[in-house]
Amino acid sequence: MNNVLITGIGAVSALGIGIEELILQFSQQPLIPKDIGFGGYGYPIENKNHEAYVPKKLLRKMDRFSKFHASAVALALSHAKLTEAEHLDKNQIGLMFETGFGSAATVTLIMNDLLGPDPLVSPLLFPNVVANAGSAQACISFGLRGQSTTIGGLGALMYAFDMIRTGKAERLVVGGAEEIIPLFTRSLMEHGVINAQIPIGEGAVAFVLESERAATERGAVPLARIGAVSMATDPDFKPLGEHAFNGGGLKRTVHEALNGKIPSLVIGCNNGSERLEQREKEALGEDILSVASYICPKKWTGEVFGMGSALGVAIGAMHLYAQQTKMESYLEAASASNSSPLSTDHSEGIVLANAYDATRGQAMSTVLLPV
Amino acid sequence: MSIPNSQRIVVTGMGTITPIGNNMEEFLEGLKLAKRAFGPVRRFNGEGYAVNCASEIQDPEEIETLTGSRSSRLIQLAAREAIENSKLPHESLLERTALVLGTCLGSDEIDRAMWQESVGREPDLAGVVTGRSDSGGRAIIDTYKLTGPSLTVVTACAAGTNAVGLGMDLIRNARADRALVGGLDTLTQLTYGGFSSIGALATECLPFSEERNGTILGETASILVLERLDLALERGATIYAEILGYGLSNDAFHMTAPHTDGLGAILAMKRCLEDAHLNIENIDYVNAHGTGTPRNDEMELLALQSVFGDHLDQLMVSSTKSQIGHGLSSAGATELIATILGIYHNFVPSTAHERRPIQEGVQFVQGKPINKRIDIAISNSFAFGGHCATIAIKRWGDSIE
Repeated sequence: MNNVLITGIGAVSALGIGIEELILQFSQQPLIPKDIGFGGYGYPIENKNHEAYVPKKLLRKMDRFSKFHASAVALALSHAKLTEAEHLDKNQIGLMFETGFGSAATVTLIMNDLLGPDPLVSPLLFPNVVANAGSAQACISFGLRGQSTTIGGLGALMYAFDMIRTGKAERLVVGGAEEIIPLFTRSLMEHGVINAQIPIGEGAVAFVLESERAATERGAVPLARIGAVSMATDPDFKPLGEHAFNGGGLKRTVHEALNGKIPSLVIGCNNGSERLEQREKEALGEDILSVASYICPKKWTGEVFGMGSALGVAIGAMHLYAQQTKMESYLEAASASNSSPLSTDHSEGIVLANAYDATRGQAMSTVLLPV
Repeated sequence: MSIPNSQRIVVTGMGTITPIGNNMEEFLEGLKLAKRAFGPVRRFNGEGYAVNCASEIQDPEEIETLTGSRSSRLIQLAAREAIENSKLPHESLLERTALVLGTCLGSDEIDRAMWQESVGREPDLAGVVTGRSDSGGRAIIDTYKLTGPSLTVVTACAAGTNAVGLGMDLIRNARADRALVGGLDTLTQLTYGGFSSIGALATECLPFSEERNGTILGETASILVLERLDLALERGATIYAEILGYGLSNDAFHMTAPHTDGLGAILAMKRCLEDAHLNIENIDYVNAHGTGTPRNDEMELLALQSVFGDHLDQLMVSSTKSQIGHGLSSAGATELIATILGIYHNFVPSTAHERRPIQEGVQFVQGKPINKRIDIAISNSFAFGGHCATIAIKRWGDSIE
């Protein structure tokens, strides 16, 4: 089995562009969320600075969702120094992304135009309604023809990890993307999935996964190693009303991924929901909570749904890299705000990143290790 | 090369609902009769569109006994048939059973809510929330109390084939011992209007014909039960076929048009053959993506030529879409079932028309199916956005020469 390394990360969010800018925010207090309507609050991306990273001639064919994808992928490829590696065969670099709601914003935009007889929807716009449009636009932008897919909900990271681990692929760009959509905001607010105390965010996070062989061969600087990924489902999960989320799925994934190890840091999936916080802490248990620091990046980014898994892994990877290179990890401030100081024991350096899709009842846990 | 039985994946159950049959028996009969199910759109008013033609499921009566959206109920029925067909005891499903579904839009509830909002009506907000989990086969998870990984592939027309391949990988990578895999998509005004807007629809679906000028949208719901071979043998399961491997790619060319040289398709097929440890000479039959659109069929033949070279004239090629239309994300899973039925029952499904083919020297199986043995087949699926998937299936029981 191959070792799977993270060699580059890109991020687009309201907190900034690039993973360093995103993590820098964790040393500050969370920004005040903006009113996004229907009683909801969030962190919408209000500028177009990320578009500078996408080839101009392709921008006009992309909707906002696709632009998040493409710019995060561009940043990840650049961070991994793959953009300048022209000798590498892009036909062998794949892209595996996940999203909760996909390109629903574009769908709502053109729905009225599509419903009449002989609809006059721009052929440039219609293809963007499919959930894989963002991934596809990123592949087109950067000529990525490797093993590629788009997952609805969680799972892209596990899929990609297995592909590289077993040798089916050597290099994959993996990530998640989400867009704030008014109809969804309203629906989620109405049914208590989010509330005024649970802001939502948008954007995209991408990272480059490589086999250790491939990374070493081209002289890549690895940020972290993925040790394990586990995924499970909660039967009898109910997204509405009195949630039947019993945390069972998350407990299984935490224990399966860790396999007896104790992490020094947990990147939690808690988004401010008391129930989710309770369930996550139950899943972690006292053995872990008594020694590990526990931080929840969604306090800064808002609930980012399909972007959440990639976000947690990216943050964990950068923390491990900062530890190894003796750089300042801004997670210390984030951790302090959670009243659980970062462990000063850097010898283990195991990071656990949790993800939970509260609209599908899926749980995923990822163990990150120093290289 | 010798692969341990715990790493070999077999199909032990199938369930499907299609426009030519509401269960496996009817689907098999429909395939053998080259039945076609095309007609004016029934689910909404198709008049006024440039083309008024679709391939729609006649909802089975049992659908009324289930709850949830129409698409959720259809996939529940397909899953029920597949699990009954597999004779797997339900308690076997409780542990280490994965669920992987391919879907484009998954839930018609979300579409409906968007439509309601667009016309100024109060949208069904609950449907928007439940629609997310519905599209992931939530009802199947709850009915059979599945706890393994559940994933939803959303690569449009390649999703069904990709879902089967991913299910296979979950078992090969020891994340599950069995997997319920498949696809679903129902006909919606959103997709119909969209395809109409890009001029992709026609009143006849004539894959690989000189007269082809578009596709016909369809809808299907299909589930296959995949198991580790050792476990299937241990319980004496009926084995319909063995899944040998699959390949994925992206065209990286255009959102709707296929790569002019078929590059994405070529890469998917080559990766499939490599994953399946096959040579081109091993393949007998190709269940083509074959949409009947001018560009796809031309590209697919080009890609087949590139991959198979001189062996192309030995291949039998046909497209199930000629009978049931284009089921979008469900197409790959349903067409795989059609292929497996052909392998199992010793016939080659046909492209159900007898028009002049676009290329000589290729064994297009047209008109009626032919009674002929298939040992190893591949099934292609190519999507909007350039995602491509190819999967290889083998007759159970024989070794590869």
